[in-house]
Amino acid sequence: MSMLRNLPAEGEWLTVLPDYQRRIIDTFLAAGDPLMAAEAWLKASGPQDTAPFGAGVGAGRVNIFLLHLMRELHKLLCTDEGYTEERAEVGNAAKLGKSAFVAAIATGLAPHVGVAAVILSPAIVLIMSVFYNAAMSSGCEMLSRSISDLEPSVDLL
Amino acid sequence: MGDASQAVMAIARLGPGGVMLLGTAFTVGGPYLATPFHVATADDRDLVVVLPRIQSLADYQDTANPAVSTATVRMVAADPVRDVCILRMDSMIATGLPLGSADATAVGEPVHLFGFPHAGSGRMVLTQQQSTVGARILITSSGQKVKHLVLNVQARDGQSGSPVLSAVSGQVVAMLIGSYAPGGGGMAMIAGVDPATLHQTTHAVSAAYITDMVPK
Repeated sequence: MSMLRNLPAEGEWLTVLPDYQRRIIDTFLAAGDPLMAAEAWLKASGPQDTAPFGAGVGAGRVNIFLLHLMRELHKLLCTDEGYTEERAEVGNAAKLGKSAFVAAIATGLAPHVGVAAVILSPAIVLIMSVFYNAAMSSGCEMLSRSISDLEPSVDLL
Repeated sequence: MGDASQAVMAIARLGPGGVMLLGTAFTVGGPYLATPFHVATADDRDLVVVLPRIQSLADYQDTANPAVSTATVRMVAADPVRDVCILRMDSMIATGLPLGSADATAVGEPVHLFGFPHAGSGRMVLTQQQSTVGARILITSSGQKVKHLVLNVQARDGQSGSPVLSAVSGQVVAMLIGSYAPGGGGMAMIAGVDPATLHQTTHAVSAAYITDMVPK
């Protein structure tokens, strides 16, 4: 977690996002906490009462699980498990500020979760706004606890 | 109305079976194209645009010719609430269609659509349709109100992403994303067709959202 000691403390996390995404996230935040907003963002799949006319198999509905993203984010930022190159990139980006930091995380996680970085960024920003602190050790503990809270209580297998 | 044959392209994904068509996209200037988020989906790996195969819409399009040239694209802006995303072509730039807004479009205004109907069946024919704006509506998405135009025309799979050009202003005023269907349709399929979509109430999202998303 030493990489995060380089991250500037100043600046709101949401300012990392482009205006069109920030406006949407602001409305989600008006209705719930940051993790609820992240979930709403990841589950958004276009307007109600409209049948999409994409031609691909399964086109039209996308459902990305917040829990999956949080697990991978924890693995990247809080452990030494996998993500060797990505972790180095994130460490370098942290020296450049929050925008570069979030972009490096999103780019690093994208191929692992099968979701484009531009979709991941708002959710990462929201998660970081909850769990980031300068020491980060307590942030990682909090993130780990939240992941445990979100884990299914019953093993369906 | 000008010829949109060089500005409207099919979106596809490369896979083991070759090129799988996903829908329609159109150039918005420089290396950027607009398409619905549900067409590209959240995963932009192996995503390509099929480069124009004709010089003009007046050309005969050979439906038996499977040869295509593609360009890799990646997603650079995404709004899954409004169902819009912006793709960037890595290897080329194109003149963009001028962007307008549903705000400046009157009910009854004639419009032109350009897209690839029946792309889900592998058909790749750039097709122009004429219609009129039937209504301007606010439709809810993830709790937010989104501006749409209702077009008095029947559309089919593959036409998502079709630019809707006003015959009055010549601007893209909306982008086709689907048709009205209670609950989003898909409740019953007959030979791959959702009967709930067999009507002339087609939805197109305002192009104003696209303008906000194109990188400056």
